[in-house]
This record gives sequence, C-alpha cells and structure tokens, in this order.
Amino acid sequence: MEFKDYYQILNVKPDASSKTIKAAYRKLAHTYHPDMNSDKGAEAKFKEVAEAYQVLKNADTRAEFDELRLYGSHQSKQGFKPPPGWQASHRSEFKDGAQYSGDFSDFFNSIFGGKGETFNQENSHHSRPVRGQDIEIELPVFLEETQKQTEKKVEFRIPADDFSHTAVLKKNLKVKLPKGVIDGERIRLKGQGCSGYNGGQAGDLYLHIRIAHHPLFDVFGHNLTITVPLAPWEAALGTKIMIPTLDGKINLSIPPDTQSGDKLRVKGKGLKSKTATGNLIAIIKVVMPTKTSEKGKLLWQELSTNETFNPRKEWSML
Amino acid sequence: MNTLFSISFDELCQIEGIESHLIIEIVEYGIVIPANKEDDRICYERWLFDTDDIYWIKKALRLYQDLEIDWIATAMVIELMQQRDVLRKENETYQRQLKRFIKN
Repeated sequence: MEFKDYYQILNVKPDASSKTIKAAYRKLAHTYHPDMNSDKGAEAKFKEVAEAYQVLKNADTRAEFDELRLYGSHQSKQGFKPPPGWQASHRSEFKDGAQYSGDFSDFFNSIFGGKGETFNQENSHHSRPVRGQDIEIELPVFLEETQKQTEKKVEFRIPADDFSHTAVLKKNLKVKLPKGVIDGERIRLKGQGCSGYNGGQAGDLYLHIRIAHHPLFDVFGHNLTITVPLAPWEAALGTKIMIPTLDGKINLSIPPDTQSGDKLRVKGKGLKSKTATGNLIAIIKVVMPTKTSEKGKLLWQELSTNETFNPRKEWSML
Repeated sequence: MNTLFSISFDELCQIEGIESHLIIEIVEYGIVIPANKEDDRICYERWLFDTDDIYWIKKALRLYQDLEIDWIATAMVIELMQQRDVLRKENETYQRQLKRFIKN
C-alpha cells in the first residue's frame, strides 16, 4: 500500500495551522473540483485533496496521521504497512464528508476504517440497503428524430458491482423518446443505473439529449436557421425558390433588392415541442459565380457603366 | 422503456437521499424552481422538479459541501455555470453559422 503524505498533497508544512490547511484545501478545491474543472485527471486530483483535508481538518485524526507519518518515514513509500495492531480511534469522524469522500484511497480505508459516509451515502459499506449510483450518458439524436416519437437503442456500461469499479456490465435498452425533445434536455429512466447494495434500489439512468449537428440547419431554441445561397441577379430581381424544411420542401419568395445577411421568416417551420412551435429563418447569402462567361462579363460591364451604386459609401466618411 | 421528465420532492429525498431541508434551501436561494411553484398554495411536499433540475441540485450540493461555501455563493456559482453553458452553446452555433457564410 502506498503511503499518502496528506501535507504534501495539500502543499502545506506538517506544522501548518488549521487555518492554513483550510486555505490550502479551498485553493486546491477551487482548482480541481470536477464541477469547475473538466480536465482529465482533475477529479482524481480533487479526490486526493478532499481525502487529505478530511483527515487534516480534524485535530484528532490529524494527530493519528502524524503518528503514522512518523512511523512511515522509516518505511519505503510504496510498501507502507501500519504498525501491528493499528486501529484508528476516530473512524466515526468521517460522516457528513465531502461528496467525493465516498471514493477514498486504499490507504485511507485501511488506516481510518472504511469509506467515508457521504450525504447521499452512495458508497458506504453497511448492512442496510444502499441505493445504486445514478448514471448520466449523452444520447446523440438527429434533428429529424426530435419531431416524432422515436425509439432509440441505448448501449452503455456500468460497474458490475457498485463498490469495485473494475468489472463492467454492458447494458442495452430500447428507449422511446417523446416528440419534441430538445438539445440539453435530460430524460430519467428509473432503476436503470448501477445496481443497489444489500437489497437497495438500483440508481437511475439519465439520458442527456445532444442534437447532432445538421448539415443544413442550425438550432436556436425552437427556431431553425438555414443559409440560402442566391445568385446576384436572384437577389437583385427577386425570385421564388424551393428550400428544404424538416418536413419537406417549400416555396420561398425572395423580394427584389435582397441583401446578403437578410433574414426571411417562415412561420411554424421550426422545431415543434410540447410547449412551442418555432420558425424557420432563411438567411440570405449572395454568391458570385466562380467563373463568369464572356457574355456574362459584358453584362456586368454594362451594369457597372449604368449603375452608380457604391458598396463602400460608408468609408468615404473616414 | 418509459421515460420520465420529472421527479417529486419525496423521490428526491427518499431515492436520491437528499435531506429535505437542503432541497428547501436550494429552492429558497433560487438555484432551481419547482415546475409547479408558480402556484404558491402548493406546499413543498408536492413540489415537482424537472430532470434537469436534479442535475443542478446535485451539483449545488457538491459545491456547497466540497468547497465549503455558503448558499448565496453556491447560487451565484450555479447561475454563472448555467450562463456559461448557454453562452458556450450559442457560441458554437454562431461559429457553425459563420462557417456557412465564410470560406476558410
């Protein structure tokens, strides 16, 4: 078993005051808390920091650790063994601990006796029933699938046993997604999370809906946007074109003198949910031909001679 | 498989193992608002929460306990996190929209 030097983990001296220890913990917790830091390894680092603080914040457990640390200084760091007959006298101190105290190291568990008891008590070893952990997974959904009730296959892995995170169990579910689910929404599947312990209920599975990027449409709440390319003469003269929507093609009237970036609203052709129906916003993009024919060049030439339009008029004031 | 979009106050306490006074505090500080709280006559035992609220309730509890901050600070952190999520999503969408307009 590896010896954990909690002072080193919190980056404080062994004679640090409780105020210094608290300040060091707060600083490290702010840096590594998994809710604030999504970097790989931040969660593991935070667990280590939380474990160190759990021991050092209490004068009694700190005194016990100091005793062990002194004893451990005569042993190799990797092959640490507590003194023969060692038993911590403050096992009951680890109640109401931090959320992550349920996942303390082997060193902590063997020295201070079992896993910490958290407020939701997900991980504690007791004879009473313990509920299994909730699981959250992301479920990619195509935009078209959100507009009708869809059955999706969900495949995920959960720890086979709530307390040994080594074996994993592969689970397959068929889930009915109701019409109108939106990006970021969470769906709860009762009892499909990790198995309980000692006859406790299984946890829940939360599906976090992620709408896959669409090649044509972008989503803004219930509204959809589509970029509509137009030839310069279509934008100048106005026209009628076919544009795709989520439920088929429709005709869109382009008024004369339409500019790049202009938005045309098609009512009711956005996303439909239980509470609202969005619109489709067509954003105009005027596109030049990549190659102009000889005849086309002559026509552009004629236009440039006859028109007085200055696209850089605003610059003349600079 | 039946899908659920809400969780009751009782379920939050019993199933998720969260103490009722903590949930009441989280609601009082405006970190989450029960779906049916608009009706003030509804007592807290009958509150219903969206599944998304459960995510923020758990996050708030973790921050409150692990960072040893008070509820006002927790509420502020959660609000900023929610704002950040919205802005991040908006930014991603604008970036995609921009790419449709501008050639790389």
